Amino acid sequence: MDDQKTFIGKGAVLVGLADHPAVKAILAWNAAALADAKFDFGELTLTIVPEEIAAAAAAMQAAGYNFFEDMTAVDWFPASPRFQLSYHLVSHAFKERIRLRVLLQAEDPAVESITSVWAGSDYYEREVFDLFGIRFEGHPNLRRILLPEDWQGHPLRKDYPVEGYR
Amino acid sequence: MSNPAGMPVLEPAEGARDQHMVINMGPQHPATHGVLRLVVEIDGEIVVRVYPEIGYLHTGIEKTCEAKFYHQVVPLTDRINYLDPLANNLCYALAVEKLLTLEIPPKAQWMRVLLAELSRLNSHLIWLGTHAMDIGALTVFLYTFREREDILRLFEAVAGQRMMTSYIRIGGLAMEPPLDFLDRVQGFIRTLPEKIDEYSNLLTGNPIFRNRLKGWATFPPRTQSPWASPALHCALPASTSTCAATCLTPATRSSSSRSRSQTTPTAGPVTKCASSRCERA
Repeated sequence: MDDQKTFIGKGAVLVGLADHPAVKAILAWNAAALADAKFDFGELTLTIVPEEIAAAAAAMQAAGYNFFEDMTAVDWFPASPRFQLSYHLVSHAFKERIRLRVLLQAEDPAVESITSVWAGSDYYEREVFDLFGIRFEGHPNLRRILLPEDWQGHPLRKDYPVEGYR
Repeated sequence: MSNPAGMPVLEPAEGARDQHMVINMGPQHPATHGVLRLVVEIDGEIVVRVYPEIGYLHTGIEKTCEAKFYHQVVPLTDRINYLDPLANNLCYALAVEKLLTLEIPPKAQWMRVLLAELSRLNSHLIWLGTHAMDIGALTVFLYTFREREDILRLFEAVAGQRMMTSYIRIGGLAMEPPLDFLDRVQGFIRTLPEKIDEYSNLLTGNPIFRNRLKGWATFPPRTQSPWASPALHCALPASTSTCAATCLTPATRSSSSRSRSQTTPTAGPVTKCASSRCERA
């Protein structure tokens, strides 16, 4: 993959990376669910509409992205939409990584859990819930994982102070 | 198994036999290599269910980073995993350099590779020693820590610090390595294969080691299963189960068998590794 190339925007990626297995898979699955796309620094980022993330994960898994590597969140406070979820998927067959991205609003952020697709995402979703306060619908055991159960607030939100007692 | 990561265990499962007992282990595990609490349901000596509580080691490094300059984060990355600090330095530096599109001088790049590999050896030596110790074969620990000490002396020579080196910085390295550094590394590398044979002598035919490990927790490499997630990440940064199965094992085996006999090493098939960051890819 040529690191020098950069494609910003859904249209540019669909044209410039038409042969990319992930791009082909997403077009075959549901092009309307792809809100935005970017290929930058040699990394492909596909922004999925929030309602479709579990289906998109299943489609990617079927397309050969068999390994759920990591997931995390970013708080873009005070921007809107405020939260970003990043799912990092690896394909052993293509030797490739992609990133699925979901943007969520600040009010009561919630998204469908992908534990039905990758059972291993269980702890990652719990961590994001614990530290960012994003709920995952359909998660089998959505409770705090790192902080004590009676902790107030979600520390990795940008409006949570770095120092001081809570 | 309906719930993969386990639900909190509070009392024996419905319909369990009378002798089932729920007990709390920790937050200090007897063989403590990190604080962990386990709530286990046991049937005599057999663990039936377990619920792990993993938060005790959480130090909020990401939150600390929010109030630091990019360069101030480097010492924090050492502390993510004190067994392999240079690789953590490297991952962080590479990420920042990627965003800055910085060009790294070739000498610094070669030093980074060398140090990251030494750091990985260090990490694996500790793993092997403590793993065998936990299983009941204490002796290996003394041998692997002998070689680990050699590696830590190399780190001390190069960075002035044995464990929290903070040597890899954004843009390159903290300082010039000492003049005799390469000779010292070569000296260490020359002696290591014999040392691996020593570990092998202690473990490969060891009945305790074999009986307690054989057939347990098998993890097929190119699996399509929903469990395909980074269970091995803690031990192998930026690698995958495939990497562990096809890359690391043959490498260790071949270096060991090479020194024992001059025949071609008959390690398993070295298929190409899937991890895009793996050096054998």
